[in-house]
Amino acid sequence: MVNLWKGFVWICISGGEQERFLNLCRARGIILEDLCFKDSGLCAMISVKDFFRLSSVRRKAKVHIHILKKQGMPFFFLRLKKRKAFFLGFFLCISILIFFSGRIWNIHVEGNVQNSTQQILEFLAEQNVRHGMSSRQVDCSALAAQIRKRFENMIWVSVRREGTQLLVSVKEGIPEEKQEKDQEPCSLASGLNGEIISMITRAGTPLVKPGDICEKGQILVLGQVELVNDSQEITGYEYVCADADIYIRHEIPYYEQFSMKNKQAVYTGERKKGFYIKAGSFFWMWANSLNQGYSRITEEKQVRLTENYVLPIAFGITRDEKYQIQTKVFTEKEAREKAILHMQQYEKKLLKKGIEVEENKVKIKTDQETCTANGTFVVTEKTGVRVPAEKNMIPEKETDQ
Amino acid sequence: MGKRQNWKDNLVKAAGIPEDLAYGEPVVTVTGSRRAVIQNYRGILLYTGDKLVLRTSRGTITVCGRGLKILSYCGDEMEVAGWISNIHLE
Repeated sequence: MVNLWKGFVWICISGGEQERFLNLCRARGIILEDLCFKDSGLCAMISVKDFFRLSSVRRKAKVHIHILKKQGMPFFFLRLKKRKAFFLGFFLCISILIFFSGRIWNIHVEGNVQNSTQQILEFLAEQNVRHGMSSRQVDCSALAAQIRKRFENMIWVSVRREGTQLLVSVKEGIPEEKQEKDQEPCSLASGLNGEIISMITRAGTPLVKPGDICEKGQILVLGQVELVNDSQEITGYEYVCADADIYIRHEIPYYEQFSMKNKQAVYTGERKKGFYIKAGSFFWMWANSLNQGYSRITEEKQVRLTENYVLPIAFGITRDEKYQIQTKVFTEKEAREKAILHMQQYEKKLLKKGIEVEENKVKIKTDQETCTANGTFVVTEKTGVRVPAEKNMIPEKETDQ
Repeated sequence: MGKRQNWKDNLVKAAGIPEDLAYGEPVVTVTGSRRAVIQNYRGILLYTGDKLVLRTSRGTITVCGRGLKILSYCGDEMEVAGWISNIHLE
């Protein structure tokens, strides 16, 4: 390996006094290795440094020296003199690799449910922990303590480095139900006109019962509880924040009208594809501009180096499809189906708000021009609007005169 | 001269000095018939593929064989490899 690094040559010694040549080399400390006798002469391996010392010895021994082969790093670099850029690039690549391997390129967060990954990443950014920073600057234990301090619902936090990745593992606790602070005494009033279907009172004095008809603004549960003595005389009042689950049945009007003639886009099947790249303010597109009669669907993807390291570079594919507007006239059956579909969608919206539909009293009428859905939905809805409770005076005791 | 040589021999024996060190005797170490290490030689008198003649302080050493190679040739030691048929000391 030493010879390979410094370089050596295979030489062939012919003519003259070869034995004298060998003795002279030995006397001068010139090392010859792997000497062998061939038809052309004596072959030997000699280092580059010793080769340059052979001139005086060659003259004395009157031999001819031919170089058969050159081996070693000096000759390798000489041969590749024209490949400077290659080696420069190779060493640059190695140095870049070494440099970048000491940086954090991915921050992986796991175990979080209540706190989003973006939230945690934003907090880390506030603590100057970002993608691309040196991994030596990250103090894992201090960062874990800061995260625990910031996010109180996290019961366990671990931050560790694995290569160029920063792993943040968290465990969240079950949030305690916040007890409402003592509120001002209040009563519950109805927000709707309708019939009371069910009523469960937890605090306060109910003024109505299931089956009663109430109006909007009517007090349903009083935020006042009478205190009576043994003689059932009112001795005082306790004011509370009324709390009850009150469900009222009422009707919601519904009306929808649409034309029987419908313009639809019918796709002809002709398609065109395009491609674009976006980087900051730079935008390059390889596609035709959107012509009339074409609809475009764009699919864009953002370039990510790692899971959470997003670069401001995006590329997208566009698909243009040709269409024609055709006027279609609904048949009666199709119009009814469309009206029913809209009604079902409306019912789903009501259900999402917590309003339960009990009965559908909507009628659908169609003629040549329009289709009309008109009627009401009988629904059950929770109500209860808090209003301030009025404080009553304690009634005076009747005295025997 | 005889007395001087005897005196020298007695001194070497008395001091326990190795003979190759004291007299510059050549040392030939042969391993099978493939390898031989020769020390304390003065120079090469003849070298061909079948014969190697070395000059020593006491005469010559002739190594005969086939395909003789000198693996290392430096200082006072030489390693010869190949098919060695015989070694003469003259």
